[in-house]
Amino acid sequence: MQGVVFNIQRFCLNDGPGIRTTVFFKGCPLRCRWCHNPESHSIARETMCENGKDEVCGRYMTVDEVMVEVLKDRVFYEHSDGGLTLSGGEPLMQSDFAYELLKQAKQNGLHTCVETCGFAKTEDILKIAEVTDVFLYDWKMTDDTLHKEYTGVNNARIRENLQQIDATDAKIVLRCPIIPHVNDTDEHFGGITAIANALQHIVGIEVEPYHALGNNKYVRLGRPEAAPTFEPPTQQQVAAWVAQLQKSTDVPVKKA
Amino acid sequence: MADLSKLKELVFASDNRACFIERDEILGRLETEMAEYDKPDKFAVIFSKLLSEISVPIHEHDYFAGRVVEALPYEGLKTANPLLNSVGHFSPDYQKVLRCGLKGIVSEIGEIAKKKGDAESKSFADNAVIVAEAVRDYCARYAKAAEDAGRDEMAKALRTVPYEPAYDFYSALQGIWILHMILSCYIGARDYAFGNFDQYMLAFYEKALADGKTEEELTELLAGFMIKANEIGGRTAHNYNVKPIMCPSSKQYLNIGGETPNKFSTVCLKAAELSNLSQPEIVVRLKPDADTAFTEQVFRSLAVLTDKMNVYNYDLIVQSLLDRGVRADIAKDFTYSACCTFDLHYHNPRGEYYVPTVRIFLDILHGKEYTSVEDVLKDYTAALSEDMKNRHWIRSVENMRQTALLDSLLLTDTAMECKYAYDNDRAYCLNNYFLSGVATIGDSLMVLDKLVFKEKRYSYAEFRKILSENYENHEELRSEIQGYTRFGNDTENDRYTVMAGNAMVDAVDRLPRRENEYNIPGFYSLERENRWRDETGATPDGRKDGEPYSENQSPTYGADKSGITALLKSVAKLPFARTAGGGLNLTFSQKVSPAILKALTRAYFSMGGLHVGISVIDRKTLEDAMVNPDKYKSLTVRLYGFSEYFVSLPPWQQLAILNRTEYSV
Repeated sequence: MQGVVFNIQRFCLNDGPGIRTTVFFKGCPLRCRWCHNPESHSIARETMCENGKDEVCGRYMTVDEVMVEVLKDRVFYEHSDGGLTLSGGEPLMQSDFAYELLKQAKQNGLHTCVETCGFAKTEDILKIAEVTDVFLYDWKMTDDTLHKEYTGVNNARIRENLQQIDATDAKIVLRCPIIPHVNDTDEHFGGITAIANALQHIVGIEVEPYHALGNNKYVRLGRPEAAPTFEPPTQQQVAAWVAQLQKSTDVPVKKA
Repeated sequence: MADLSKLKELVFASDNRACFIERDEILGRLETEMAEYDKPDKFAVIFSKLLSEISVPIHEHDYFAGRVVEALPYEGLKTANPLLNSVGHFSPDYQKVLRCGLKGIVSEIGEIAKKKGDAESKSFADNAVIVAEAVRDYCARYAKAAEDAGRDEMAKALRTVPYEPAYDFYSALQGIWILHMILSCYIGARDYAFGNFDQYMLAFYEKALADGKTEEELTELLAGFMIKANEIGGRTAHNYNVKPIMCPSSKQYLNIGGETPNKFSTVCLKAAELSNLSQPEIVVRLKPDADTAFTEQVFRSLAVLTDKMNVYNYDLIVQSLLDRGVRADIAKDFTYSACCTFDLHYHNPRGEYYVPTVRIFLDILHGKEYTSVEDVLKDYTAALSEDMKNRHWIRSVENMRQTALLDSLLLTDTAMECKYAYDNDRAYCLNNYFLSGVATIGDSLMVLDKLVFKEKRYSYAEFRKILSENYENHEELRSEIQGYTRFGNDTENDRYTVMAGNAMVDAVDRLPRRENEYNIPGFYSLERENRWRDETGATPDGRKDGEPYSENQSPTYGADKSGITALLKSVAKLPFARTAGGGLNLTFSQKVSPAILKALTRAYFSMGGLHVGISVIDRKTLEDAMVNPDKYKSLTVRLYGFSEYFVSLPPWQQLAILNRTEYSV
């Protein structure tokens, strides 16, 4: 079985516990306006300009090929309680490939994380949950109209899938991209903590402050006009967001 | 009032050009006065006279007495006077000094000399008395100065230590410091280490707690002791203004951990954090199953101290020493003293030889036509061994006999046989062979194997000509070679560097040795990868003549492109179980959490890694520091095997630091 992967990054420290290898899946059903990984949008391979040279972004890989890379750092996972993380893009866009990869990882005794926007078929996500220790689950906007406006899809299915996962044994970290003047509102923050307080398996909330580090990628993909134009928050703003969220929940909140 | 922050400020307020001139003026005069004096106690008498005259300053912020007066050199001054001059680089037996005092040591020596009955031993014992009493009288003068300054505890201690045994925590530290300073500054040497400090100080610490002192008070006192180590030789290494003294920079290693870390080991780490200066360098001998609280503290401290700390794989080193025939109790007690090399049982001064590994490699490549990597390596090992047999150690024994009298009292095994520190029949002779450029040689073998032996794209003669012509008109080839996956990326290609490493170690192991002699290889370049870069010629890995080769155990600059986990896996493949010497520096572009440092180090050690030292540097800061050194007086970086003030380095070394691969987290 093959999948389309656009990067395999060793020594990732922010994609779940410990030292991890993150496999980035190509293709995403959402088009978040603040996205810093535009190369992940399309599942098709595309060219990206790197130091004046065109390079192909995206590579067909078999499960075994990916596992060879992932297992290279096993010793570091063992000493840090780390493991494999699937990210993207959206891993569930290639749900069968993701499942096989996670299954092999579990067979090899690895801890597994899946970073997902939650916009997937419920049966797919439940199958993935069988082989996933922690979901890094995005909760982008509580207001459904705004969610549709800023990401291109409604959040009802995302909410439903989150509840379905909560009924399994998998742990969940809520990951919340916060963009000044877009979703740094009392209403959304209240929505985040309401979910965290209502569900059983939420072990953390991570605030992902908007940053513009991906803007250059839009240029390299030949779509400079598509680059986001939001204003990154200050450190103080981020600290205030974390504090505000923490006031309304016992689930630990931190900056991602 | 003793004050940590003010004592620290004094370190940075010192003038880099200033020297310990008082010593040189007195020695200059004594050299003339004693020119005709040729009795066997000549150098003991000179030492004694020097100590009887030299001033005994105490600063109001000092916790412990013992500092030197520095002044700017003037024209016509003879610095540094080599009349008294040892090379240091060992761990004096401070434990014995605390327990028996110099008086006890001298008395034992006297008994032994009497039993032996020969003139040489008698002379050794006579000199020992003169030297020990000189230290006693000097401390008495210091005690008087302390009394005048109203420092009663200091005065009381100096009336006793180090001539008599130490009686409490404070007097133990005072005794060590004054002796350490005399060795380092007065005899003019450098790199005396504190040995397994947490072991021999534990009883004093426990007694102090029982006497009602708090951990906080004792930690502060220890930090006050540690800051003093930065006064030795000023605070610079090579100095952007060269400092004409014998001890331009002294690295002083303080070892903790090992078989039984204790509660005082943790106090040492906390005190080092409080001091947080380049010296002393904390060496942790870490066992994989060490006490959890201790291990956690080690990595909390490493995150704070970064380049000021070394972590060594204790079990690997002990096994390596056992394999070399060192007795188990001695092996377990090893202690690092200088340049990533160890001492045995406090009792060996070392021989050091920097093997011109890259030059010898090129000599054999140019000397004959080869058809396989195995043949190259066979000749390489033989050529290295031949070179090592003809090595020259740093100093002559005769010179060291004369001047290193105090050193000799503090190397117990030899002292108790009435032998001088540098006599060849001492109990442990450790000869360190420093092997540089292992990755450059490994990558070169990889390129030769691919282009010449396997693909046969060039005949041996053609490729050799390209090297002789320094890749002139072969830029395209050079660029292709530089694109190959080299050592440091956790690939199959690492095996060439492993073969090169084994060939080097084979050469050391092949050397003839006496029973008391241990030949220790270490992948360690110090600065040879840069200093010798113009003397070697182009290498097959695409390196042109004049470019630096690989540093210590690291890949060549910029070759490691697959991240830090791949790098550690590559480096762990080197035959460290056969070396026990040398070091690895890891450079991070930002702060790393203790948990991640712990995971990286322990994973690396579990694969057979030997040593970890880290730097956390920000490129922009370093570039700014090169332009505005005065703004960055306290900025330290890791250099080879130790911590160094960045602004004190010459520009080529600053650039070498900037050229290292930085890992982001």
